[in-house]
Amino acid sequence: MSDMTPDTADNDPTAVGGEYERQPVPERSRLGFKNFIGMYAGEHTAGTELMIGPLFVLAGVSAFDVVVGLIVGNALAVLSWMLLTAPIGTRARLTLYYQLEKIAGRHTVILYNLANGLAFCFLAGAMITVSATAVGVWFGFPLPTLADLAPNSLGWVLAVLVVGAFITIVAAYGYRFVSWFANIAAPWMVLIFLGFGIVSLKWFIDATGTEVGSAGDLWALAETAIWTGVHVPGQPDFTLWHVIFFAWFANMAMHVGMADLSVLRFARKSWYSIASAAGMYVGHFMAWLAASMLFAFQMYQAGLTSESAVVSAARAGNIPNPLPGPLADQALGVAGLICVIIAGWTTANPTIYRAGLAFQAIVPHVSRFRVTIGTGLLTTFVAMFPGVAMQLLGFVALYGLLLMPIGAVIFIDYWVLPKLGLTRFYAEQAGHTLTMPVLGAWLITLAICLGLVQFADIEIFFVALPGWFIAALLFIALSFLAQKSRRSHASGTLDVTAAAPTSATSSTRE
Amino acid sequence: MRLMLQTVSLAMLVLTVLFPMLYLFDAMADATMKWSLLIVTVVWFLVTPLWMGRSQAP
Repeated sequence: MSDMTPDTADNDPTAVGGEYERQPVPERSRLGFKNFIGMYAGEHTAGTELMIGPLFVLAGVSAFDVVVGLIVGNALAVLSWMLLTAPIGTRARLTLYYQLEKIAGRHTVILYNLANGLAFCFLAGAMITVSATAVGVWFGFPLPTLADLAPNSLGWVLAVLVVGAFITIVAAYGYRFVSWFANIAAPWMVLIFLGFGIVSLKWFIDATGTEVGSAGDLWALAETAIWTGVHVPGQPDFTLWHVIFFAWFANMAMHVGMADLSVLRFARKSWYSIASAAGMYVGHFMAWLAASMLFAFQMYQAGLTSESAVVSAARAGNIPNPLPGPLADQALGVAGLICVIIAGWTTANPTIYRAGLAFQAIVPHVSRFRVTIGTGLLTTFVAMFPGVAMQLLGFVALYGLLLMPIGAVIFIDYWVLPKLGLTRFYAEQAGHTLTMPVLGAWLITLAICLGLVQFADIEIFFVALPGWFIAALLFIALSFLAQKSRRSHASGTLDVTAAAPTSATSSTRE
Repeated sequence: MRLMLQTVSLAMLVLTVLFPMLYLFDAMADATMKWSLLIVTVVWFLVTPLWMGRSQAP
């Protein structure tokens, strides 16, 4: 996101921290469409894509489900950026944090930072896990298996420690270097991902003896050998709807959750948010499909294309492991391994940096360097547990859900409250540092959504959509109560104030 | 000079896709494709920093 900071900001004395953190982005610092294409395409081709693709295969997606589901789900994600985030971002032109502070008060922002920072630590941990699998190919220590939740070897722990320490130190010292390097690596990395898909397609053609002369032949190969729809016991069981909702909400914190207000406030026009399609259809379509094809071939080679074979293999613990390092090595050799390491590194680094910033807002007296080191150590510890990366589908859904209610609050506060005669930016007007409408809407929504998952057997991938409406209604209702009570209190105070001089006067008169 | 460096970078991107495509159509062996991609990768990371984002370089 720092990529989006215009150079002019550094020289602008009115811009706090050079990023207009507490003022609208002025006209002269707004950016053109091309900036957003590059930013979105690069940011959404990350190390975690190499985990998500294989996890789709383990979740038993069919060819139709995964292709159509990703097309539709990613389109919904782009529409969410265009219809929810960008219109507010390009009107208010404030960061999420400042806008939330105006609505909900400074202490709510601190709570948001805590939740966001912890979620970032888990995401960055999964990225370090991905990079460490590539290190394992070179050093030959036992890599984690699908069933491993905890570290399974000393070699794995050491590899994660080394990768994590390196990433942490770079994040603490030289974030600018990583940002610069990530921009350089992005075009090459996207094409290496494409290479994964091309090479695995060749493996399937050779292994099945298919003659591909038309798109129909290719589709038949995809249906019968690549995405067979066979689900591995113990993994989520994905249908078309799961894929649609997963793709839509994989970046829920960014669009519906409004985190990208901080980015899109720099856009000259609201429609520039369509640039998010570059990220979705490169990173969350092409890269996910390519990575899933790599792993699907491991399943095919092991003869795991039927329900009975998969069930027997699962019972015997013989399901192949969805480890990006060995998969990339097999497909493209050292170039593939370099891609895995760089994809994990360049995306884990800004994530640790952002988590550090989020935590630093909670403890502003501690230096950013120390907070980033602490955050990196926590992230590295998380990365040692491969269970986080192996359960990434569920974690990504949880991450979006956690921050979604705040997006609903911002949307309602901006568009709906003024139409209902309620005050926008209530905390700022009332001078509160914590407001019950926001806190209540956030926590009650989360409790209801998690309750639905726990007790009503609704999967976590689906609760965020009704959750948004629950959060919106709760925020409206609680805002009515809070603002009405304040008004009656204020008018009561006015009555007392108005009455007081009279009494005093009369008293004096007496 | 800048144009020449950009041309080399562009060529590396084209080759990054071309080599797997040649492998797909049986025009290149697996090992050759992997080595070629490694060379392309090294050239990309040597040449591209010389022109891309120089104003943002640390």
